[in-house]
Amino acid sequence: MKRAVGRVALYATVLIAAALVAMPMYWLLVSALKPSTEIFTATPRWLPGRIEWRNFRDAWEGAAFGRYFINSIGVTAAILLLQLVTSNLAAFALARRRFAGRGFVLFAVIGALIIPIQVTFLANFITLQHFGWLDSYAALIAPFATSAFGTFLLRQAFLAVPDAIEDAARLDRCTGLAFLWHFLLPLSRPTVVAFVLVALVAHWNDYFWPLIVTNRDEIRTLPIGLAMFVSQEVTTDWNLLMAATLFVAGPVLVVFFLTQRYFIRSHVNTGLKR
Amino acid sequence: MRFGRMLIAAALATGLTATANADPVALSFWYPVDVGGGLTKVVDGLIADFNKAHPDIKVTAVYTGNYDVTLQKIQAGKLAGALPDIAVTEISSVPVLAALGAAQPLDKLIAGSGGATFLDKFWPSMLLNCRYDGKVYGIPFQRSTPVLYYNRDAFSEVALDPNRPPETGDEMVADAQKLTKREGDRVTRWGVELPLEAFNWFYYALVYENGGESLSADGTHVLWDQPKDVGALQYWYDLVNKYKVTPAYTPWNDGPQEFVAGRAAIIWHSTGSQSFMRQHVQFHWGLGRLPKNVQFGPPSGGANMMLYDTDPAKQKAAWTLMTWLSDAPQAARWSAATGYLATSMAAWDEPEMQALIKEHPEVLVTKEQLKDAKAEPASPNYAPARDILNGLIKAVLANKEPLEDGVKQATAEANGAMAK
Repeated sequence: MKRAVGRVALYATVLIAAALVAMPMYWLLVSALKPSTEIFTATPRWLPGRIEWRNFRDAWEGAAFGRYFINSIGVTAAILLLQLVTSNLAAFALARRRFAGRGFVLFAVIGALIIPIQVTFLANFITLQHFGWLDSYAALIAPFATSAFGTFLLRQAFLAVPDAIEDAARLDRCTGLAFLWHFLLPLSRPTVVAFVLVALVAHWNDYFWPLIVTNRDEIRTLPIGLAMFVSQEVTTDWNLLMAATLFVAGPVLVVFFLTQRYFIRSHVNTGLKR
Repeated sequence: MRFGRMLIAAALATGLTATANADPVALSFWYPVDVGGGLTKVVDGLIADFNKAHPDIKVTAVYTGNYDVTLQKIQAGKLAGALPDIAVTEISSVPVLAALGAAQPLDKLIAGSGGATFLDKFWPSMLLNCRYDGKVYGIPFQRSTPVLYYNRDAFSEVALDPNRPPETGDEMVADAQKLTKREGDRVTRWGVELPLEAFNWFYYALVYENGGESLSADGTHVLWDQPKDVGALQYWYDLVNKYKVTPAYTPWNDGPQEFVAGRAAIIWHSTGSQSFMRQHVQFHWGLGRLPKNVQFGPPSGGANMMLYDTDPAKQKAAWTLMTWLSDAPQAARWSAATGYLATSMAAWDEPEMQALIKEHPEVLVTKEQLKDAKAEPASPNYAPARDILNGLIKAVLANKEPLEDGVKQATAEANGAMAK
């Protein structure tokens, strides 16, 4: 009996938490489906009186979303790939190798971690101008080829792998990068996946930087298209904005749903039998 | 064979157009939309028509986010040497970008286009926010003033004349008291809402109506602690806390929604929101001038075009675009599509505007108001003051800070920040 009560309480809590998370998503969806006359009502309307599929067409035509989509996928993938390579290698060196100045490098990485983009954007912008890279894909990707956050996160994960494993691997002549590839990465999978998800969301949603460094629709990304629906001076068409938000957020949500299973399973992999 | 001939014909045709367009001058035109998504298309359409009519110039329109980000992009561009040729920016950025040496003075170009006669085609009040240090930098483009939107059905419901919006501050209080509906302690309809945005428009409106100024003539210090300014904030405070006919804070974008949903009987908002209202409001509504106290004094708003080229050939081409866009037909087209005010006086006689006036006669209120419009406060160092004022208004209206002390403190803080 007591257990049953506990169970009910548990499910109730989980349900409430899930509702809190799902509520904005639901509102996003119904608002995207409503005609504009139903967006503003004295009492909230939970279901559209009439489904307005046209919103999606109007939103899609409101900006060059097709092109932005391709660009967002390409730019985000390139950034993730570069960050994975550089962060893993740097984290490997910082966590498992001794060299002169290691402490200083680590200090610099942590320092870089706390500096917001508003501080560095001007320096990066001017550097890119000197390279002649403004208004190109390189401008969107190059400044994010490394990640202090990823380096630090992965270093902590690699530190947690016991030395005994490295010793054992060495006996099998698995050293250096091979050890990184065959042992550190698989053992740190939850951290790697978490890092990828965080970086994916951050760069997929990045608005400020792409807007500052690009001037052409051909190389611009999704959040810029989304911003075209938001108004600072006059009023926003919420139904179109919500429809456009679905284009932009949709792919990330799908990735989350797909990787979620993988994410949970990877938690089960423990390293060493004790 | 036929294919070969087609190829030759095509080659000839391209060759011919290439000679006709011998190196067109390439220009970039940066614009913040700020009027909802569909209007990027209106801009693209205007620019395409310009390019067609001017084969020696090729303009590319670049969307640059909202007013604030557009300004940041230009400031970064100045430091890196990557400026646009022409950009549309919020009117208070004129002194900021002129003092930075980014925007270029237009006086010589204006002299070449008829001098005073050229400037006379604009509403005089629209030129107030175009000058810096005695020179003209801005050409009015998407200009606005705030205007009073009122629910005529709600007026009828409480036995107010639906054809007579409040004309004075006192009348507005009286009307709003009748219009406010309560269920117990809960307000189901506010009498009036003055939504607040980052530029503090309605504070300036209240100060001007009181006959005051909020920034010294030389732009070096704020005047918020002067009696007329304190009185303006007191009026707003009373609407919220004494008469309880206005919420303490309405976010800018919520205002029109509250009006549309019938949760506010009167709102002050940008003339640029008219197209939104026409599309969404389901009851009878009308426009009124912002009420006066000792005088009418709507503040100016919206954005100007500014020129960033120093090369004479590019300047000439850019000037061609700027004058073309401000010519009556184009100004009318932009105004009819957006709800922004047609900048050229002659634009109001264009067919597009005449059709609009016929369908929505209330639009004439926005025209009438233009003769009273005053400048938006602006100076090269005004940005921090703008933010301090915004915080002050929110804190005072929400009763988190006493009015007199808050005003004194904020004034000192703003003057300190502007002196840096």
